[in-house]
Amino acid sequence: ESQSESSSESSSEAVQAVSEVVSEVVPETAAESHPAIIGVSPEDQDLYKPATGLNGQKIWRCLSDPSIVLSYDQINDDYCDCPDGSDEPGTNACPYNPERKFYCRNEGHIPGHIENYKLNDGVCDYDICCDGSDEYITGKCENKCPQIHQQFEEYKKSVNKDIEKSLQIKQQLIEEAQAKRKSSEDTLNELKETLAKKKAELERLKKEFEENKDVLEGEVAESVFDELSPHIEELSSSVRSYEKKLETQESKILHLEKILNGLVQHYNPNFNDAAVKDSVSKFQEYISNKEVEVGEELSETHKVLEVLAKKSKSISCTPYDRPDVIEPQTIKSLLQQRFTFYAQLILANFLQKPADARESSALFEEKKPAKSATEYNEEIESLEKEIKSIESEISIYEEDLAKDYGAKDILRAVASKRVNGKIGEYSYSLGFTDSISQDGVLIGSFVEFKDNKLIYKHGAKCWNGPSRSADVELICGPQNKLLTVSEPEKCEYLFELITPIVCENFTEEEILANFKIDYNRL
Amino acid sequence: VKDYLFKNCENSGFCHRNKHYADQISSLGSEYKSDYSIDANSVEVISGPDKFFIQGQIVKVLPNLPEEKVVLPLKISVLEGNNIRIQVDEAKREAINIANKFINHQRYNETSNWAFVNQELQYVKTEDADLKKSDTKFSITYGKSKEYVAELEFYPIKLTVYHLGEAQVVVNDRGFLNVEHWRPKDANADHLSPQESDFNMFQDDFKDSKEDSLPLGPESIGLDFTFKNFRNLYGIPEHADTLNLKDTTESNNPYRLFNVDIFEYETDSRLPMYGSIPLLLAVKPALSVGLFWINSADTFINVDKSNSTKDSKTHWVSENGVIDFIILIGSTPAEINKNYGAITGYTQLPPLFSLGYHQCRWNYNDEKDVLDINSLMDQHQIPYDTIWLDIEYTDSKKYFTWQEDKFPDPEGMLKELDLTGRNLVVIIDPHIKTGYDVSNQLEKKKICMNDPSNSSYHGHCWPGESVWIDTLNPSSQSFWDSKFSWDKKNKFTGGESTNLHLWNDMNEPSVFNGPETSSPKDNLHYGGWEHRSVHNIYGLSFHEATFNSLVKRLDGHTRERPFVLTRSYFAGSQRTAAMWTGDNMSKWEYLKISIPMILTSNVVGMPFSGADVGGFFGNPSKELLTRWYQTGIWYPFFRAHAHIDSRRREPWVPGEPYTSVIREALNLRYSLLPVFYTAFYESSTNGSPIMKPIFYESLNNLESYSIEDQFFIGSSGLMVKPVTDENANDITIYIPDTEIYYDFTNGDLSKVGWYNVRKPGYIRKDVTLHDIPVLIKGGHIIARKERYRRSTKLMANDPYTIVVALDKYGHAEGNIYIDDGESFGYSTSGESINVHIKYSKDGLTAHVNGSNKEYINSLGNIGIEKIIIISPFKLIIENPKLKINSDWSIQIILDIEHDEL
Repeated sequence: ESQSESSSESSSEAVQAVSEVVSEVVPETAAESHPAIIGVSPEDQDLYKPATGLNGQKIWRCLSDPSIVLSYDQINDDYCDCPDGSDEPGTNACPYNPERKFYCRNEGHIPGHIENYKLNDGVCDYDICCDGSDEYITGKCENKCPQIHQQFEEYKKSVNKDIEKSLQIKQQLIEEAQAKRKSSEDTLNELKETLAKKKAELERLKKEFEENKDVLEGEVAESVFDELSPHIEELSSSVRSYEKKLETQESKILHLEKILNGLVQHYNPNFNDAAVKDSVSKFQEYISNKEVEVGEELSETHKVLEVLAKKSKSISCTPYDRPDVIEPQTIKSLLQQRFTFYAQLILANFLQKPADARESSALFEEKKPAKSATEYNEEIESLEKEIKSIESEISIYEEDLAKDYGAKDILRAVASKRVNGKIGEYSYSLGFTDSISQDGVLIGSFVEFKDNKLIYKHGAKCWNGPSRSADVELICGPQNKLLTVSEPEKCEYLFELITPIVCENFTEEEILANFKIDYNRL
Repeated sequence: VKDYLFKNCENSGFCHRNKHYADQISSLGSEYKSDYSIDANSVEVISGPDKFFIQGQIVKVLPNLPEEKVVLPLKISVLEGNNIRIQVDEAKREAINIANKFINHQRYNETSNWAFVNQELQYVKTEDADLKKSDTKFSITYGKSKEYVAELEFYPIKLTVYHLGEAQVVVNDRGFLNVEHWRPKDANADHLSPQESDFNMFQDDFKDSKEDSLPLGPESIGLDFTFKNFRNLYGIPEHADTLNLKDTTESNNPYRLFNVDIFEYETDSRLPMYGSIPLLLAVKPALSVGLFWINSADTFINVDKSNSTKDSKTHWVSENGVIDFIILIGSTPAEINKNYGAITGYTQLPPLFSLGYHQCRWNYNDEKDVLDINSLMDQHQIPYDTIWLDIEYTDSKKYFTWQEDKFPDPEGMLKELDLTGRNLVVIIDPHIKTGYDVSNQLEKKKICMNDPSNSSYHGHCWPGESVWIDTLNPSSQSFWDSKFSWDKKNKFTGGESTNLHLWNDMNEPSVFNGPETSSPKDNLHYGGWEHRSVHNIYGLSFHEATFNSLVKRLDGHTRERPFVLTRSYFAGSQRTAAMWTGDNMSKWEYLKISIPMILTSNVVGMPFSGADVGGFFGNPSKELLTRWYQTGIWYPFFRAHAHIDSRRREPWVPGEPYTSVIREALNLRYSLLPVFYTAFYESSTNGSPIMKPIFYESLNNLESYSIEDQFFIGSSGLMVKPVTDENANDITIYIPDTEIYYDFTNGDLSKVGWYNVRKPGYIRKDVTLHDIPVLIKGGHIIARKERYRRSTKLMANDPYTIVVALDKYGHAEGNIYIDDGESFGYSTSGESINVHIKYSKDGLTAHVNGSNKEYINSLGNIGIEKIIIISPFKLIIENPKLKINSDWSIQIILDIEHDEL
C-alpha cells in the first residue's frame, strides 16, 4: 500500500569508519576467511562467518533466528536488524542484552565484556576495557592496560597477602568454635544423663507414694493459714495502698503528657526554637518507648499473693520475725522488696521443713511409711521442678547448637567478643551474637547470620519510626574492626565490619570484581 | 498548614482598609463622588528620539481638609508590542518629618529594575500613535493597524482599552482607586475620607506582626480592573489552586501574593506560597489581555466572577509602593507571553543536563552515599544526570563549608560524577550563620539586611542565629562572586570543577522567628528601603546573584551555562532560575495539583518549573510513586525529592514491577529530550509554555479553558494525560478539536490507534500500571533519541528517530533545535542548528538552518536511524543513512487520499 524511495546520498561512511578501526584495533583472528567482527570475542568469531546468498552475495543470519537473513554488511552498521541484537555486537544500536556484551581484548590485562550502552559514549570505562576499545569511534580513550594491569597485580598481591594471614586466624577461630561446640555438646549429654536419672527417681517416688496411699490418707496436714493470714492481709493492704499512690502518680503523668502532647501538636515547627524542638523530639521519643504495664504488674502481684495464701494452708507453722523495713526509693522497688521479703520468709521457714523431716525420718527406717504425705508432695514437687529446669537448660543448649553460626560454627568462636569503635561523633559497641549499641542506646540484638551479614533487630524505638535495627556487612580482613556506619533509612543502620570470619580464598575473577582503579595514578 | 499563622484580608491592615473602602463605594453606587480626578491642564505629551509618553497629575481632595490637595504624578506610555504602561507616584513625600533617619520615605519604584530584562523599554514612536485630547478625556490610538484605543476619562477617572471599538479592559471601572497618602499620625483623622477605615494604619495587631513599627503609616494602593466579556482568568501564582482562577468574593478569600515559607501547604487554597508573579491573563477566543502589576509588596487580588455580567472584575491592593502596571493586549495568550517576555526576559536556555532526571533527597549523607547512588543508577540502568545535596552536607549549616568527616574530598567526588557526565547541585540559602568568616565579612562589609536601627538584622533559620545577605545591595554581587571563584583552592566549589550547580532555598526569605515565618517588614535594605517594599523581589535578587556568580565562575570553560533552582521567585526570575513548587506531600491530591500549578507557572512566563516527584513529606505508596514518575517526566524541571524522615525511594527501591515501570518512564523522558530541548529553545525566544494548557491550541473551544489535568509539550503536538488516580483502570482524554490524534501511549508507536472526533469531547481508554497516556496531534514532526545512555551528555552522538504525524490533509512539520547543550556558543558564535522538517505531498524535506559552518560540520557523525510516518497507516523508513546536519528530501507516494479521512 505504500512505497518509499530514498533520494539521499546513500553512503556508507559509518560502515567505512568502523572497518577502518577494526583493522587497527582488532587484528584478524585465526579464522582467515573474514575480517574479525568488532566486539566479538575470538572464540565467537566463527558465529560471524559470512555465508553465500543465492546471487553470490555475502549474507549472514541472526543468531537466535536464522530465518532472518541480512546482507553481510548489515553487521555493525549501527542499525538493529536482529531481534536478539546479534547483528550489532560492536554498536549500541540494539537494546542492551546482557547475553551480548562487547568484547575488549585488553591485551596485557584480562579481557573484558562491556555493556553495549557504554560504547562510544565518550566515557573511558577502564574498569572493563582498559584498552579503551569501547571508545573506538570517539577515540577518546588511550590504552591504559599496562598501568592498570600493574595496579591490579599490586592489588592482587596485597589481597592475597591479607587473605593468607586472615585465613590463618580464621582457621584458629574455626578450631576454637569446634572446641566450644564440643564442650556444649558434652554438657548437653551430661544434662541428658542427669535428666534420665532424675526422671527415674521421680517415678520411684511416685510409685512409693502410690503404694502407701492408704496409710498416708489418714494424716491431716496441719494448716498454718490461720497463723499466716493476718500477715498476708497486711501485705495485701500495703500493696493496695501503694497501688493507689501509684495511680495518683500515673494520673499526674498522664496530665503532664496531655500538656506536652498539646505542645507537640500545636507548636510552630517553622520557628526554630532549639529548646522547643529538642523537647518535642525527646518527648516523642519518650512516648515511643513508654511501657504502660504497671497495672498488669500489680495484678500479677495479687495473683502471687493468692497463690501464697493457698500454699501456706499446706505448710506447718513456725514463728517468724517481722523484718525491719527499709524505706525504699520508689514504689515499684518497695513493692518488689516487700514481696521478696515475704516470699523468702515463707520459703525459708516452711519449704525447708520437708528436708528436715526427711532427715529425721531416716533415723527411724523401720517406721512405715517413711514420709508424711506432705513430705511426699514436697519432694515430688521439688523433683519435678528440678526436671523442668534441666529440661529448659537442655533446650537452651539444643537451640544454641542448632543455630546457624555460619560454616563450621565460626561465630561460636567470637560469640563473647565485643568490637568497640568510634566513628564520627558516636561510639559503637558490637557483640557478634549479642547486640550493637550506639553511645549506650541499643541499636539491636543479634537475630541471624545470613549472606555474610549479621542482622540485629528490636533496638530502642525511634520516634516516628521503627525500632532501631542494623545490618552488619562483614568484609574479610585479619583484625576485627568497625569500618563504617551509615543510616540509609532513619534508625536503620548499616555497618561495615572487617573480620577474618568471612575470609575465603578469592578467585581471580572475584579479585578483579573488587579491584578499583586508582585514576590518579593513570 | 497552620493557616492561622498567615494573614487573610480581614486581619491585614491595608487589605482590610481597601476592602472596606471598596464596599463603601459599592454600596453608595452612583451617589458616590470620587475624591480623585485628573487635572486636565496638567496633561502633556513628552516626546523625543527614544521617549514618548503622556504625563499629568491626579489630584486627590481631602474632604476634611479642603485647602489641602494630594498631588499624584501620572505617566502613561505606549510600548512596543501593544503594551500600555501606567505609573502613579505621590509627590511631596520629601517633606516628611519622620523619626527614623535611615528610612527612604519615597514610594518604592524600583520593582521594575528587578523585574525587567532591560531598563530601556522600547517606546512606540510618536508617529505610530494618534493622540486626542479634550477637556474631559484623552485618548491614544495604537497598534499595527491602529486597532487599539486607550481612553482616559478625567472625572471620575477611568481608563478603557478598546479593541476594534469594543471595550476590553476598564481600569477604575468601580472607582476603587486608592492611594493612601502620607500624613502625620496625630492628624490622621483629618486625612480620612468618610469611606475610609483607619484599621491598623499605624500599628499591626496580627500575632507575630505586632512589633511592626509601620514608620510611614498607611501607604497602600488599590485599583480595580474589569475585563469585559472575559470569564477565564489565569496566572498570579503561586497558589495550590486551579488553573482557571476562582471567584474569591464568596469565600472572601482573595489571592495573596506574599512570598512565604508555607509549611505543609494545602491544596485548593488562595494562601500565599513561596513565589509570586503578578501577571494575570484574561483569555477569550478572539483576544487575550495581560495585566502585569509591577509591585513587590504584600498584595491581595480579589476576583469577582459572581456578577451577572459576562465580565470578570478584579481588585488589586498592595501594601505600599507606586502604582505601576502594564496592560498587554493581543489576539492569543501566546502573543501575551511573547510581549511579556520582551519586558521581563525569556527563560534562559538551560544546560541540557538540567532537562534530565534529578535525584535529590534530604539528605545523601556522605561521599560514599552519593557515589553509591551514582553507581546504583547504572546497575539498575536508570538514566540520570544530577544528584543533589541538601543542607546536611555543610558543617553545622554554615554555607560554603563541607562537613569534613563526611565529605573529605568534594573535588574527588565531583570528578567521579563527571566521569559519566553527572552533575552535583548543592544548596546555599541566604541566611548565613553568625560567628564564622562568611557572616563576619557580610557584617563587616555592611551588606546584610538591616533592622530598623540600620544594624545587621539577626534572626533564626536552619543554622540557628543568622544574618541575611542583602542582595539588593550592588556590593553583594562581588562578595558573592568571591565565594564561587574559579580557584583550585576553593574547596566549596570542588576546586576547578565545572559540574557543580546551585540550589537557592529559603529565599522568601524564610525567617523562623519572624512574622509569618519571614522578615520583619520594617527591616531595611540597601537604599533605605523597607523590607515591606521589596519583599517579593528579595528571592529573585538572591538567585540572580547566584546565577551571575556562576556565569563568571564558568566563563571561558567548556561548560558555561549554570543551573540554579530557586524556591522564591518573582516576575523576571525565569531569566536565571528554575523553580519548584516547594514542600508538597506524598498524597494523590498533591500529584494532581502539581499539574495546574506548573501550567500556571508556564502561563506566566516561568516555564522551567516542577514539583517534587514522590512528594516531599511522607512515604508514597509504590503505586503513587510510580504514577508520580510517569507524571514527573513531563515536568519541565524533573526532580525526585524526599524529606529526611521519609524512607528511601530511589527508583530501584519499590522493586518489581514498579522499578521497571519507572525505568520505562525515565527512558521515555530521555528519548524525548530533543522535544523538550527544542521547546526550551522556542520558549527562550518567545516565552511560550513548555507544559502548555490545552486551551492554547483550541481558543475557539471554551470547554477547553478549564482543562487542567492534560497538556501539550511545547509546540510538539504531544498531548499528555497522566494517570493521577489510585487503582485507575481507565482514563478519559479530552480531544479539543477535530484534528487527528494518534495514540502515542508510552511513546509506543507499534500500534497505530487514532482518534478523529466530529466535535470536541472525551474519549475513554483502558490503562494499566504501565501506561502513560499520550497522543500526538496530526500535523507535527518530532525527533527522538531512543537509545539508553547513562546521562544526557553521553547521548550526544546517538542517532535520531524522526516521527512524522500527518494531519487530516496529509501535512506535518516540526523543528529540532541542537547545540552543544553546555556553552554559550549558540548565542555568541551561532553554534547551533535548527532543523526544519516538513511533510507534504511532495514528500519529506529537511532543511538545516545554521550560521556556523564549522559547528554544522562537527555534527556530521550524528545520523537519523529511522523515520516513522504515521497516518491512519504507518510507514517506517529504516536506516535511511541520513545525517542530522544536512538537507535532504525523500519522495513518498502514499496510496491513500488524505482529504477522504
